[in-house]
Parts: sequence; structure tokens; C-alpha cells
Amino acid sequence: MMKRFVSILLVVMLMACLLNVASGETSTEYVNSGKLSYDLTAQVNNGEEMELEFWVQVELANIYQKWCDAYTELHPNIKFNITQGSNEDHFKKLGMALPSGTGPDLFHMHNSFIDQFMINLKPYDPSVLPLDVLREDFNAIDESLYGDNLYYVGLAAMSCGVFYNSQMWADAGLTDADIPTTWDELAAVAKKLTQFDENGKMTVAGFNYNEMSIEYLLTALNYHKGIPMFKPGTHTPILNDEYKATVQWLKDLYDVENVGSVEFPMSILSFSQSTSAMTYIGTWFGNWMKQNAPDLEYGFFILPSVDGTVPPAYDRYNVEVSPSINANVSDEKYAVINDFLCFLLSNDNFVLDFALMQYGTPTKKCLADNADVRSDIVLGAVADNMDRFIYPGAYPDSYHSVLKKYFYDEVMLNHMDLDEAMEQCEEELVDALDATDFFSIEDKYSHADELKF
Amino acid sequence: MQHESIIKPRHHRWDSRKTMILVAASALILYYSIFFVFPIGYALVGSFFNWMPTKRVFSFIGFENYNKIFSQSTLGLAMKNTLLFTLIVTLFRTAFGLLLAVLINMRGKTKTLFRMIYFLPYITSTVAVSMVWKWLFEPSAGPLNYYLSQIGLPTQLFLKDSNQALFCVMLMTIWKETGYATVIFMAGLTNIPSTLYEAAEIDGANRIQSFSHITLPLLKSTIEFIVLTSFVTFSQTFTQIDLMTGGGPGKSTYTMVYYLYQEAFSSNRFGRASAIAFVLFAVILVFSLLQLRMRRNGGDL
Amino acid sequence: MKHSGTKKLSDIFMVIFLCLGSAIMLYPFIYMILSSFKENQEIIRIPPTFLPEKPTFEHYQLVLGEKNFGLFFWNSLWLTIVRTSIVLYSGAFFGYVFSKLRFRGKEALFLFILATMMVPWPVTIVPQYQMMSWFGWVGKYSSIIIPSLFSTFSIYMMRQFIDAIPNELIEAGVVDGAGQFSIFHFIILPNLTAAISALGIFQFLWAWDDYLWPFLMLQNMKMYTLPVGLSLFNGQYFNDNGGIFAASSVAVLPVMIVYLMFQNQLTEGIAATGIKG
Repeated sequence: MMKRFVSILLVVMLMACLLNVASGETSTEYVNSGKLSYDLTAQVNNGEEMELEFWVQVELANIYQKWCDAYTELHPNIKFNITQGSNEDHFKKLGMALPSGTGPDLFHMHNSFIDQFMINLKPYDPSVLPLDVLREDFNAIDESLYGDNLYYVGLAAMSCGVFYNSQMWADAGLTDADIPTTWDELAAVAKKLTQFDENGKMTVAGFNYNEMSIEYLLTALNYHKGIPMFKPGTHTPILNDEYKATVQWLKDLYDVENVGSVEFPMSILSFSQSTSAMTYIGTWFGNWMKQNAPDLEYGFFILPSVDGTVPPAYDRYNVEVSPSINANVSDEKYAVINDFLCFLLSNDNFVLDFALMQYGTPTKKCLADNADVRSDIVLGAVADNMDRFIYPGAYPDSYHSVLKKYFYDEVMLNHMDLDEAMEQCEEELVDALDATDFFSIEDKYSHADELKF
Repeated sequence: MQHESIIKPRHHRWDSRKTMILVAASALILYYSIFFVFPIGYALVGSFFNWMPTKRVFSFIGFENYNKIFSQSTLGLAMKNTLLFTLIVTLFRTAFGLLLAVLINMRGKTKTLFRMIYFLPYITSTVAVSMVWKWLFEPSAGPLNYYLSQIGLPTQLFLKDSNQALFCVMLMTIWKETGYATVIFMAGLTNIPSTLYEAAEIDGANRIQSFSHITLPLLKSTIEFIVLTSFVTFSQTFTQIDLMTGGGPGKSTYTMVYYLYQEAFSSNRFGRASAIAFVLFAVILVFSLLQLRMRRNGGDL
Repeated sequence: MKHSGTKKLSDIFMVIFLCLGSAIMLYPFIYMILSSFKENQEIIRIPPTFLPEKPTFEHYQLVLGEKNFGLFFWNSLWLTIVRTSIVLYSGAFFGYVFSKLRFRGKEALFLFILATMMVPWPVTIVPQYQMMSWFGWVGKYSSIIIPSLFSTFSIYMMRQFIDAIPNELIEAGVVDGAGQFSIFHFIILPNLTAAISALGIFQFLWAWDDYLWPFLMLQNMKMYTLPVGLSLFNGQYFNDNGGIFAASSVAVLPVMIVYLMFQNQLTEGIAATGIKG
């Protein structure tokens, strides 16, 4: 009885703390309500001293530091040496270190690098982290499976949607009922939100997809039309006439509908400066706002479909994953690392911390109805529609950077002819993807029959 | 160097001299073989291979890497940008450096103050100033556009505009690097005897005339030094491109080194990156030989 | 004097020009320092502010506290001093051999060394990385120090400086019965103080600014140098602008202060290399 009371108290405290994730004031309490068991009292490495080298992305440093410290408290003989790197640098450095036989014992991983890194990784130990148990606990296990091997576990489902400035929304006389359900309505709402000064110069863009939004927006809108990213089971990109029409529609939003302009800064910056009323961006933006514009109130909705009916997929999702293990670790380290990973994965609070830091929906099933995830306007909206989000596979980062280069930089900024851009873009995508062994798994999507392969 | 022979091999000192030459020559040959010849050879071999270290792939593909880069428009663009960048930055660094040196040199008490101010950017970290300048160029919240609009000029996209981005990076580089040329030129100027200028003034020469007839010819070797070192440095520009534009928008600020870096570290194609490196090497070699020949033909003034 | 009027006018014009130029030179630093005290939301605000509205030290707390830039600073400092000293010593040694000793193949060897200056450094990155891992140096300072034991530029410059040392000095040493090594250490080196301080500043600045190689080599955050530490703030999405400005200030200000204290010696030293080149 007492135990139950304490755990309820802990959950309440945890919830109270969740609002303060950014300031790092979260619970360090180990809570396990899943199937994966972890023995908090067992000794590791026979009680002998060990130091583990752990590389993390700078944004995640606090969270990993916190849970590494918690682990060290349980097992004082195990210490962690955490090295941070910025997002891009982290992976560039790993790309040099791992094949040379050096590098960290374990590190923050991103699934877009799995193709490059796989040969340098050691899979999770199935005797400590059994696949069937993990499957019971987590949603995205099969997305992380390569053969029978798990190199990481997806912990947070990341997707995108439309953020809007609540103040501007109200000022334009819009209410919740005006949340668009079709593409045309989206354009119409954007038009209402666009503001001009007396000289006809745009002062507030109704919709902004500049720089870091358009490449993802394009993929999502194409899914609405049933156009997948790749030919089934291959990495051959699909760039057909319907695709071109989507690019044209986006271009027309600026050129014809006049609801935005390339003169505005990149979407996230402009939105937080209140010079853009709406933007389409990854859910991680919620965290960015906390850091850069904490006072700005915003709303969020999932992209509307072409005609208001349920589309084949609203959007794509990806998973942010748990750390991976260097193939060169000793057996002793391997055992300790798996123990540590078990500690993390079985711990609801870690998964929640991780997901909220990334601003994604936690994939641990016992957190599905977590009040803080549900009540979050961004994460709640994504969670409600998860069934209509597609996972195309762990394709390399270069896919979207090539799209951005051609359809934003060349077409929107440099006025390159659209046909020429399509052609060059396809050529470069093929070249980039040919260097990989990635294959699309879009045909495994539960509504794959609605996609036009 | 006629004086070299001065240290004649004397019988009882033969040993220390010989030892020193032996130590020096073997150290140099060893060092340069390990850290230059071997890696260059390695990379040259690698440029004929499909070479992906992270995937442990290393298979012979002949000239495929060279064929590929020559068939892509990126090579031409990167080469053009590299040349443009090198030429313009070298030119402005030399010209501004000389102009500032002459102007500052005419100051009395404030001479050291000005010299100090203009030299300041040179001693700062490239990484740091690149990040700061990136924000100065930021079109919305950055101060440059704000000042432009305050004085009634149209605002610019700077680094977000394909036509301006490379010039913005050049501007930052000129800002950072000119002070060095200024200081070198100022030292060169102090070595020119003031009697020459006095004589010229008596002959009725104005400032511009005495500049072009006295200052320029006497600073010839200094100018050559600046041009040469600038050329070598700027043809390998990387850090500020990486930090300020990331090669964009599009590929408008790709330089050869950035192109190479991208192929290696983003596309994981080290073979192709090596091929790019050797194309750059060849170009630098041709330019250096040209310069050498020009120097020989030109002789000394 | 009929010139004096125009001369005065052009003088005023020149002073204005120089002052304007100075403002351009200094502005980025002023902006950087002021912005490092602004809150992130103030930095991205339109229109931009010049002076911080609500001055905050939070970025410095982050940079110096959690991110440990103080440690990076010391790492940078000692590493730079070690690298500079070695390069200066080796430069003087080889410079002496090339300048004053005669042996077969000298010119060829010298040309060969000079030719390496033309090799674009990125060519060697990947193979050198591989070599460092063979030697087991990845993640150690030796991977940064040993590949830069000798510097072609330093050898070249030292040879130029030593050329100017009169041979009589060496001859006197030879007559006294000194060996070549003692001649180098006790006659040549003491005569090279100007060259050493001149070249030293250069090598110091270069080593201080070195970024890509240390970035690739250093794996433990406790070993980071300042430029490597700075790149922590180079995130594509999660830009912490205040952090960038504070970190840049921490990297730039100490060097500036040292420079301001010794500016005369330093600039004159640097100038000397230009003359010799």
C-alpha cells in the first residue's frame, strides 16, 4: 500500500517536473512499468572499476549525464566519460573513428547513419535485451531490426506538422474551427494571416517553408497524393509529374497566392520572430521555441489532406534512437554496456526524458497514455494520428539536403527551370543513394495498398 | 650562395659536421616521407578505388572517380569559386594592405593605435569570427540589414543569396586577413630611406608619383611574398565556408576543399574525394610553375 | 606653401578614412561582446538591439561552467606552446644545415621540402587519419604534435634569417674547436632571437587557430582545444546564439588582451618575417 502510494506520488512529482524539462529539473527516480526487467541490486563487472567512453550529441548531454550519474550511483565501480559534439560534427567524427578501430565504447546514434556504420557496430545482447520482451514494451522495434540484430531501439517517434502563431490566428478572426482540412483551406488561411504594409510590402508571411521546411513538406504532401519516396524495396527515388505538380503548388503559394516569400528568414527563425504566422516543421521545434521564444504562444495541427479525406499517409515519421555499441569493445565492456542499456530502456523516466528532449512521442507503450504527452498540443496531435504516419526506412540524411538544394535554393531562390531542377535533383539523389545499401520499406506500411508504387 | 663553402671540412671536425648533415637529412627524409609522401601516395592510389572507410570498402574502379567528377558540374563550379575567391581576396588583401600601410605610416602619434586596430582581426580564431559574421549577415535579426534599412538602402539576403554568398565570405576573409599585409608592408616602408622621398619632393613629384616610382618598386619583394602566401592559403579555404554557408545556397559557395570534404565526410566517398584533391593539386602545380617562370623571365627590377 | 591647403584637406580625409576603417575592424568584436550578454530571444528580435536590454551572464555560466571552456583554454595554450617551440627549434636546426653546411643533394632536398608546401592539406587527411590509428595515436595529443614537428615554412624562414648571420661567427667557433652542434646551440641560436620571436608569433597564431585536424583527432572532451570546443555551438538546428557569442568572446578576448599588452614587440616581430620572405 505504502509502495503504491509512493509510486503514485512519484508519478505526480514527475508530471509536475515535466514542464521544466528544458531547465533539467526532472526526476532521477528509476520507474519501470514495462516488461523488460532490470535488477537494481545486481553487481556488474564483478565490482571492478571500469570507465566507459560515451559520445553524445550536445543537446542530449544533460540527459545522458543525468542517467549516467544515476547508473554510477547504483554501480559505483562504473564511471562514464561523456564527450559532446554538435549534431553534424558528432557523426563526422564517428565516421572517422569507428572504422579506424578507435572511438567511444558507446555513442548516440541516428538511424540515418546505420547503413554507413553498421559494420562497425555490435548488436545488443539478446540475452540481456530479448527481442520479444522489447517488442512488448516498444512500438518501433521492427523499424530498428536488421536481420535478427538490434543496433539501437527507437525511443521517440519524430514527425512534422504546422505550427501557428496563436495571437495572429486570433487577430485574423480565426478560431479552432478554421483549422484547415484541405490544401486549399490551408492556402486560404495562410492568405488571411498574411499582412502587408501601406506600400504593399509583406510584413508577416502567412505561411513560411523557407530553407529547412520545404524538403520535408514536399515529401509529406506527396504522401497525401499517394506518391512514395522510393520505388518499393529499392533506393530509387520517385520524381514524377505528380511530384512536379506538388513542387509547383508550393511555388505558387508564394508566387501566385502571395502568402509568403523567400525574402523571409528560414522558417524556424521567422516564426519565432513573429514575422511568419504559420510554418511546417518537425515536432522538435517545440523545444527550439522553449529556448528561443518562450513567451510566444502557438498552436499546432497535422497537415491537412488534399481534399479533406483521410490520405494514404499524413506524413512520414522517423525515430530517435538509443545509443549504439562500438564493435571493438571488450567482452567485459560489452556486458556492462548491455546492462546499462537495459537500465535505460527499462526505465520509463529515461525514455520520457529522452523523448521530451527530442520533442517526439515516446515509443514505450506504457507511456502512450502519459498525461503530459497527451496534453501536449504537438505530441498529442501526432499521437492521435500515428496510424496514418509512414516509416520509409532509415534513409541517409543526404536525401533531404539534396531536395532542399534543388527545390529551395535553385528553384525558389535562383529561379531554375523546374524541369531542369527535377532532372538534376534526380541525378544527384541517385548518385547519393547509390553509395548506400538502404532499401525502402514503404511497402511494409499498414496502408501501403493506398500508395501508388 | 657563395659563402656556403666557408665551412670547409677540416679533418678533426669532420665528424660533427657529418653527423649533423646525416641527422638532418635523414630526419627530414624520414619525416617528409611519413607525413607527406606516403599519405599522398596512399590518396593517389585511393583515387582509383571505390573507397568507403566506414563500410570497409576498397575496390579498384580505374578512372571511374575522375570520370564522375569531370562529368559533374560541381567540379567546374568549385574550381571557379576557388579561383575567384583566391584572386579577389589576394588582390584586396594586397591592395588594401598596401594602402592602409601607406596611410597609417603617415600618422604620427596614432600610428601604433591604427596598426593595432587593423591587425586585431588577424589574431582571432577563424572559427569564432566566422560564427559572429554569420550572424552579422543574418537577413532579419542581423545588424547589417538593419543599418542598411536605417540609411534607406534595400536590405539584402547576403549568405542566403547565391549571387552574394561567396562575396560575403570573401568580405569576412578580407576583413580578417588584411591587417597582416598591412603590418608587413609597414615594416617594408620603414626600410625605404626617407631621403628618396625628399629628393622626389624636390623634383616636384606629388604623393602618387612618389608612391608609384619609389614605394612600389622597392616593395616588390614584399608584395610578392604577400601574394604568394595569400595564394597558397586562400586556394585551400575551408573553415569559413563550412561555418558560414555550408557550401550553399545550392552549391554556390562550394570551393575545391569544401567539395572534397563533402564527398569524403558526407557522402562517404573517399576515393572521389582523393580524385578531387589531385585535380586541385594539379591546378596549384600549374599555377606555381607559371609563377616561377614569370619570376624568372621578369628578373629583378 | 601652395600645397598646404590641399595637403591639410587630404590629411583630414585620410584620418576619416582610417577611423571609418577602424570602426569596421572593431564592430564585429563589439557586437560579439555585447550580444554575449543578451538573452537568446533578444538576439533574434527584430529590430536588433545594440546594447543588451536585460544583461545576463547565463551564457558565460554555460560556456565556462557546464561546457568547461576554461579547460579548453589551458589545453589550447600548452599545446600551442609545445608545438610552437618544437617547430621553432627544428626550423632553426634545419635552417642552419641548409644555410651554412654543404653537402651533396642539398638543393634537391630543399626543393623537395618546398614542394610539399604546394600540396593541398586535405589530400593527406584521410591517409593520415589511417596512419594515426595504426600508430595508436588517435585521441592522443601526439597525433597533433608529431605530424607538425617540422614546418616547411619555418625551415624556409629560418634559412633566410641564418643566411644573414656572418660566416665569421661560425668560423670563429670552428677555430675554437667547437663542434657543429655546439656552434648551432651556442652561436647560431643566440643570434636568432629576433627570428624566433618573429616566427614564433606566427606559428603560435597558426597552431592556436588550428581546427580541423585537432577536431578529428581529439576524442575526449577533456582534451578539447578552444576551436574544437567552439564547434560545439555550430549546431544546424538548435542554435544557441547567446552561447555562440559568449564562447567566441572567451576564445577571442584573452588573445586580444595579450596582444594589446605586447603589441609593439609582436607586430614588429611579425613584420620581420615579411621582410625576410
